[in-house]
Amino acid sequence: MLVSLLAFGGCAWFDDGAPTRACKTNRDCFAAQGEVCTADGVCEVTDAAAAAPREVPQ
Amino acid sequence: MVVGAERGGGARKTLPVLRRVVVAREGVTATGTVTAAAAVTATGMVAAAVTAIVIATGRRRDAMRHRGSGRGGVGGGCGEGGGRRMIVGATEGARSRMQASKLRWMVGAIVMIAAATATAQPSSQFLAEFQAGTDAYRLGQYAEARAHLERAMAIEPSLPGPPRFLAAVDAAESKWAECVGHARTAIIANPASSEIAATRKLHDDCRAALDRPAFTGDYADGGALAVETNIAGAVITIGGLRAGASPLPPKAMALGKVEVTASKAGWKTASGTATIIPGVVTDLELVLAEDPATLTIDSNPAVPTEGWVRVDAAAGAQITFDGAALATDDRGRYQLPVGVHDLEVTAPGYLPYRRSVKVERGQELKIVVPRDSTAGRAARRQKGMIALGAAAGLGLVGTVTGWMAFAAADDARDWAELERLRPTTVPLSETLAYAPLHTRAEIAARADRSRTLAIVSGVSVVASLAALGAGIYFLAKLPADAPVEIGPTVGDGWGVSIRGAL
Repeated sequence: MLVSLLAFGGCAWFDDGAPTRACKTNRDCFAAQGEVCTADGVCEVTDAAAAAPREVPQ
Repeated sequence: MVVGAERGGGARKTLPVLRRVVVAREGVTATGTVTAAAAVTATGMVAAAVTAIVIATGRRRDAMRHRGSGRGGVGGGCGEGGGRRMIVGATEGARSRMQASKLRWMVGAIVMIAAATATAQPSSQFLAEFQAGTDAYRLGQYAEARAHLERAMAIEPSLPGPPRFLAAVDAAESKWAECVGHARTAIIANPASSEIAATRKLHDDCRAALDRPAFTGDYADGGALAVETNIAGAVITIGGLRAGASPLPPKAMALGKVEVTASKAGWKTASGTATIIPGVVTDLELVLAEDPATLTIDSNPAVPTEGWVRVDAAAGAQITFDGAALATDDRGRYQLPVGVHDLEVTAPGYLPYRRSVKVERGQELKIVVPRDSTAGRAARRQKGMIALGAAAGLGLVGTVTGWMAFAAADDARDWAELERLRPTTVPLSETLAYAPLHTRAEIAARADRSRTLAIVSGVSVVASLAALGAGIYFLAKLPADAPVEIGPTVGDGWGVSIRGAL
């Protein structure tokens, strides 16, 4: 029991890191918060993106 | 008086307050009421009176002879008759003077003898101590008797009475060697004593109590000598002549000092001097030392049928084999028959130790018993429990923080995914009702927290593992099996045994 708990806790040491701002498309960014994927592949908040019309199908 | 018969038995009676101190011993007679000085004075007075009477008688006879001759004085008168009378008178005078001179010499000798006798009289202090010692002996008060007799012997070391009584005291106290010594002293002091027979009997009785062989021959006018050595079979020579092998039984010997030697191959020759005294056996013990320079070869050595075990344990340990305590030999080893034996060692403050020991023929085993004290074990157990407790605590911390790190990381991932999926066609205010908004800063903070908790979890887990290992070490540590050293087997069957220096 102790060993299993220790193993569980030890695995936390090897958990994945935090989400990054790297992106390929706008879908990788927080579009609802006004982020867009720049040409450098980084999600950034821009005024244009904030003023862009909503992407509605109609 | 037979000293041996008066060994304190039946003599417990009250002594009279006033008694005439009479010690009729060894030719010394003294009366307490007559001092030595008075004896000399009386003798001198008598001698002087006798001398005066003799001299006066001689002169008167001379005077009568000369008066009868009609002449006066010596040398007077003439003529033949007168001459004859002169010669007769002179002769008579000379004869009386010679007699007086003889008497004076006799008186002088008597006075000297009296003075010498007076000088030889023991002191009153000696008499008091000696009498007190003999009285105490008869009353069975041996310690007090010994003290008085030793003081008496110190005052008059040449008298045999005190050492003879001391021998009796020694015999009463079963101090046989001392008894023999004191009896010898008494015999040496006066071999012609009236008590010599009793002294010799006491000497022989004490020798017999020491299991020494008695002399069965005829002492004649001499004594006897017996020789013992620390090893049997040594060649004994007395006065340069071979007398036999040790132990040498009592042999008749002339009085005086004799040189005795004992020799044996492989041993250094020992020598000693014995003083033979009349009517008793003189014992001489010689100690031979092993001669390491000698090489002895035994072509038929004895085949060992047992083995030996040497146990190195704590001081005061009780060692038993098969439940029985055994005695060690002169090398500190336990001699045991061939086979398996149960060894058990117990000592105060230490854990009992048990093991089986297999003894081989002619082999010597050395077993070192671990000094595992009960106090040490308790301390070790305490440390183990503390280490296990720490391991459990650290493990719990590591587990909890690890779980928290997982949760924080999940939150950050979920938030990021949620924000990526939040639709842009719906007003933001409407989506907030379903899922709260999490900015990148919040997501990054949550990710940092996860990372921190992961570090704490990792460190706690490592520390817990270390404490767990220490706890297991302290609790599960068992005393190591005692190391056993095995000595080479000593010969088996036919062979040659070599002992000594090469």
